[in-house]
Amino acid sequence: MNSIFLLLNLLPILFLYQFGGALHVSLPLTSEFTLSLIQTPLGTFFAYLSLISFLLVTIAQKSKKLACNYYVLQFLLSMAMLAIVLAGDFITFFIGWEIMTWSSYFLISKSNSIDIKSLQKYILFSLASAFSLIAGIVIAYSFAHSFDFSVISNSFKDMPFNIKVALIVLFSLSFFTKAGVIGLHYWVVDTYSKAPNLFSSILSAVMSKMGIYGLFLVYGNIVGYQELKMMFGTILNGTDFGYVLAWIGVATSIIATFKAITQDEVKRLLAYSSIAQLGYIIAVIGFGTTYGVAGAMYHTLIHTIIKLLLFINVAAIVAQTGKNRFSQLGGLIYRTPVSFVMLLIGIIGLAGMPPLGGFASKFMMYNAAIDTKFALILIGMLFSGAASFLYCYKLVYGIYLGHPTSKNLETTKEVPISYLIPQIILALLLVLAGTFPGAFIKIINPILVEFSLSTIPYSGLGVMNSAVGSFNGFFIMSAFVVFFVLILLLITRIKSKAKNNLNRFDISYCGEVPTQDTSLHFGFGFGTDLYRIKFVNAILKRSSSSFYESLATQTKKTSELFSRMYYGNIHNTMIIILLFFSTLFFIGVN
Amino acid sequence: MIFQIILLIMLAYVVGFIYFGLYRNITARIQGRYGPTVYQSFYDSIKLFSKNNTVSYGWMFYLGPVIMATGAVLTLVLVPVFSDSDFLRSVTSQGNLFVLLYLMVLGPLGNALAVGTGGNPFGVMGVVRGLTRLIGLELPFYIAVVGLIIAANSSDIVHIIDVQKTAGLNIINHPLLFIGAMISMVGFFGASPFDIPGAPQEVYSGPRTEFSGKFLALLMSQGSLFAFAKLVLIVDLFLGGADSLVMLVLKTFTIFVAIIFIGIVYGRYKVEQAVDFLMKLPTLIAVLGLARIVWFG
Repeated sequence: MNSIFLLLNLLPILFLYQFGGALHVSLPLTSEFTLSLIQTPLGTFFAYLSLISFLLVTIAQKSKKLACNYYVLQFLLSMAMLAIVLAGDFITFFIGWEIMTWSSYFLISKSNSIDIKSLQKYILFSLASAFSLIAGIVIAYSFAHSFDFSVISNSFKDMPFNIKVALIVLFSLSFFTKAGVIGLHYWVVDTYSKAPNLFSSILSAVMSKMGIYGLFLVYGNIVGYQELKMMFGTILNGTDFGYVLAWIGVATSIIATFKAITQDEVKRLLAYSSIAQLGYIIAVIGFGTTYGVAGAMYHTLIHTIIKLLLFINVAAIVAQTGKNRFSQLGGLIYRTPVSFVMLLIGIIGLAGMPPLGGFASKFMMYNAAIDTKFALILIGMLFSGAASFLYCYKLVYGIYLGHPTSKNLETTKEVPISYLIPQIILALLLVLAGTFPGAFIKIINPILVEFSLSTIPYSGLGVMNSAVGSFNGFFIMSAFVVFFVLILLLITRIKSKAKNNLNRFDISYCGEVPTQDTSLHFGFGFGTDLYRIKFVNAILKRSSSSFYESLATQTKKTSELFSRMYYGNIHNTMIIILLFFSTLFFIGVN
Repeated sequence: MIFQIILLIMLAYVVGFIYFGLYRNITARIQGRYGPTVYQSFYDSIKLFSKNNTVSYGWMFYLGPVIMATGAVLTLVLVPVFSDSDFLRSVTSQGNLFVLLYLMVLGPLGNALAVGTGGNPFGVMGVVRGLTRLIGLELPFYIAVVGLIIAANSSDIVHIIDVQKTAGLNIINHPLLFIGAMISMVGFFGASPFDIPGAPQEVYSGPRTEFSGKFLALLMSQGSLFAFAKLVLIVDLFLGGADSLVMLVLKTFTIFVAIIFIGIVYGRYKVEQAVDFLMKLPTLIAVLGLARIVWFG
């Protein structure tokens, strides 16, 4: 079953490759509506991103005995995403969006740990996103008389100002919900953490990126960055609009980072980290400059790679040990060494340290902020980056380092090879992205032309150019490897008679000897300091759930009020119905 | 180039260890002790390289200090040492200030991995405190660096040095940024009041508890290289770099003594106190300096 769907997932990639950017299909339904697929550079980028992610996740699913309908739904989901990114009009886009919503809903519901409340949260927020989207589409249609992206884009300039703003807000809200901007992220954490373990990687790495694609589509193609600048005016060297958006992104990033550090469940940490990383993308997406777009695009790519890697890694560990909390894991490094190295590469990328790919994308975004002189935005991003080291370390320590917290962790075996293959591919990609960051300039330049922005100069595979400085990824990587090998040789030449410590309790412990019952794993101790820092405590003790719960209570009370009107007394109901229709009648007559 | 790199590493090793010796000596004198000789750290390092280490905890424990040392050496070669000569210029031009900011944390990551592998909860406690402290500690430094980058409109350190030749030193042009960066530097050097991660006499020696023999020697050596790199970076950014060896030693030593003198008179902050403090006054000072550059520069 797995191999059939593996081949099936390979087909669209070959298909897309075969067309080479020239795909243009249109299917006229009536004289007014035409469904069309057009391959733009932007769409192609996202199409490859999602298709390859699905392929890798399908490889990892080989070791799980999944039912046929699971694969069918997953394939449907990947095709829906393909429809979204290749759509040439809003009808196709919306059809893809809706299929994506319900097919992912059924996939999430297949998890063992899912509860009805999380599912309701997911579907409600997805519906809200879809309603906001369709409201925008209808308004756009009423002015442009077409669903076609290019027609709407051409007539956008002639729309009244408040309609323009309404359109931008409606579309943004819809895509923000998908990407999980803070405030609208209420569904994200529960869904990511309770979905089937391997499917969480799709949710975080690919489906959230559909929100990012939507934002690019609206800001870059339909509205156009030049138009955004003209509509809202400029501040410093960027647009007012970009500045507001950047604050939303930075706030998302900072809040989610601190929330991530204090989580005990591994997948909840990854979910919050995903929100935080998308916050970076949203922070730079509205700048409307070459480097803003390039930074957002590069981070989209890198975040997809990293989150796939980390979620597959965690899924493998959970499948192997049956534990999903930091306080229940630990000490797996010498039991599952390959997994450990993969996770290590993932977190180095996530923390954005050179010489891996994570640095190149962060560098691009930071330069975008300097280019527009948005200094406080940049400080916010750097601050959130510094805080993210803590959850990166928690991830690697809580699972692999320290002491095992239970007996069966001491006999765990390395995870199955099918989990490792996609991880190794992704880790290699991450290393390559860090070594040859210049290769990305070749991918991004056609997209920049599509947005009518100036392109980035290309000077070799290893060199990443930007507005205020460049660096040579190839040089840094090779210098790192050379120094590492030299120091390693030097230190191994020095003879010493140290024996490997066979007994894990043989540590310096204030003169005492720890026993089996001594709690030696520090996994649960992470983040407790944070509660005592006033600023961070103010963030941690607030939660969006209270807002949404009170909203739910209010809605319930209001609907109770209405239901009392209907079911209390038949005479009252009749009078209300009569009044309603007579009001309608009078409005109609006048 | 290779010869120059070796020369630089040797220079940093010697200068770093002498500064560390001076640090121990000066601290002792201020506290009314006689203190060790200036060369004591050298002797310690050489002695430790030839000693057996008591235990090892597997390959990650072995590689952690190596990663840390690699991070320190890489940082060192990417910082321009002399302002006017071509010394290692072909190497430093491959990186920039952002690369350095992030390379600086690569070393601590190696340390954290090794400490985690060692399995000593006190060590990990120190690492976590260090990372928590970093949330506040990086803030004024980042603001200062961002301010300088925007002022020079380049993240290239050589360019920032060159700008200071015509426009005057950054310490005079942007004093608020300098104050912010110096407060962060006190923490980066592990001096009081921000010395909670190591916290001698408190968490049983902190992150280095399990290291012995050649690992401890490697950690000490990379520490001195790294300290030198950080001092040179501050000199480059705020004091216009150094055009000769004498000026380099003079300028780095001035900064170093300033850090010691700030550190020695304070007690130790708890980690939350440190972050709280750093997020208030030093951040405010640095933000004011930054606002001056962005809005009135």
